[in-house]
Amino acid sequence: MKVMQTISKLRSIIAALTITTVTVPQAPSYAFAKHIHPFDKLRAGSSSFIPHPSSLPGMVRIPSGFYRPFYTTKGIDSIRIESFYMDAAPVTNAEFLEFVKANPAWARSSISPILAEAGYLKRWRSDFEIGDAELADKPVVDISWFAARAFAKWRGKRLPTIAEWEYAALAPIVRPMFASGNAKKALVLEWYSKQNSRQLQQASSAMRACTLNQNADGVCDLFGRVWEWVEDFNSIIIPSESGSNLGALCGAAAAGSLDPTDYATFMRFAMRNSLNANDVTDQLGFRCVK
Amino acid sequence: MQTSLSCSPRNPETNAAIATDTGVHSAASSGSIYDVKLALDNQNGEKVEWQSLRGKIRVMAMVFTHCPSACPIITLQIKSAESRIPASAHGKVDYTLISFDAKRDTAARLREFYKEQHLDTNWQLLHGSADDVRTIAALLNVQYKEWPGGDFTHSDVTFVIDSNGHIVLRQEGIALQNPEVVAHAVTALLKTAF
Repeated sequence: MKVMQTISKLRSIIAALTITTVTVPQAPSYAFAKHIHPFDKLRAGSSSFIPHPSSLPGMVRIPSGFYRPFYTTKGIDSIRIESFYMDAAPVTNAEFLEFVKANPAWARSSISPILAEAGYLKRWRSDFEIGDAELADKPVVDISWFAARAFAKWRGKRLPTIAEWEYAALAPIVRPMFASGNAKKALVLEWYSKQNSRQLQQASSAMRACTLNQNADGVCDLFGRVWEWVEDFNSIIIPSESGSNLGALCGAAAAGSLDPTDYATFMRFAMRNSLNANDVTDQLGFRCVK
Repeated sequence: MQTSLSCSPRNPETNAAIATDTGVHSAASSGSIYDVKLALDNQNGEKVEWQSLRGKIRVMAMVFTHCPSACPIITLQIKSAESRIPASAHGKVDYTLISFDAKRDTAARLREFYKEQHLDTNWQLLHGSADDVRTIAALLNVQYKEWPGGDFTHSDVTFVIDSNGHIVLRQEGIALQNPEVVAHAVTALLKTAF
């Protein structure tokens, strides 16, 4: 349960960081926005704020471009990301139930503790019943990396890499208001400060998938709903002379990070770094890519 | 603020296992690492079902053979542990290295490494798909990252795993490798198992 400790630590840090009132420019039209907010230069391939059409249901296309890693090593400034499809919204309980029904080895009472610790799907009524109708359309949480990955494979998809997830997260926010650059950083921090299980549990239908926020590529709720598993969550190693990762995010972190003032991104990396693959928490869900 | 967040060791609970008197940590409640189905290849090009590794005590580590410093040290330390384990244990304990490097560590390359390091028949050098390597690293809670150019940054960990697939010792950090502790954990398992 150290994830919970990390998350609660993170929350107190955000609370300290969050600017009391976040002022963001009112949403201009997408076309107008293009002119006043030049798209992040690193996403050179993305020339439009209008979501790219996708033939895959529930998925949006993320155009190819370049991503500048948050942590990198000598000689590597940016990496090319090929175009991919990303689920517009996090995977819901109802979707996950289909998977469990089709793959009973992943039911709560069957799963090995090495694949998911105690608490796996703990809010469901039973192995094959969600129970609470309100939960059905909400992002599934209390699932391990192994379970998320198995779901993705079953659907013919996969989990995004850190680079893909972070690259997708670079797009400006277009709903509920337009925000890019520093205004977006502030907004994301504010969402993070509000993100907690109680709010999610109490949330009404207004909190269903794809309603909290949406970015220019049409990806919803990347921020502020749940944290999300990524394929290579266990690859966050800060380069150091020794080649050892003891105290991975310590000391060298500030030097190794290309933008140490980007707290929201730093928090995601710290969160991922605190995870074990069989961890489950009520704040951690996932979405797939293809 | 960043410092207070980031400077705690990554896995205080698992690291704590090292600090116990015997070096042996009861981990039965955390499940068996062999509870997943996947297949690897060994240095002879033979298929090895992951689940078939059950049944023997294993000293295990993840390495890659182009690694300039840390992996040869890990290998040497495990050899040193092997030399401290009573000869009567021969055949009951295996030494298993799993490669991070799905591209370059082919069976042929692993066979070369096997010869270079003068390993004996109790050793298996395994490689698999990038996907399966990621799964094994996740099971063992090992962090690694591949850099463009093909090299890896990774946690330096030696494991002692009982015959059911429970991790009883996790020795992390290149400077903290201690063959005596590894040998001690294996010997303790030998006493309980046989």
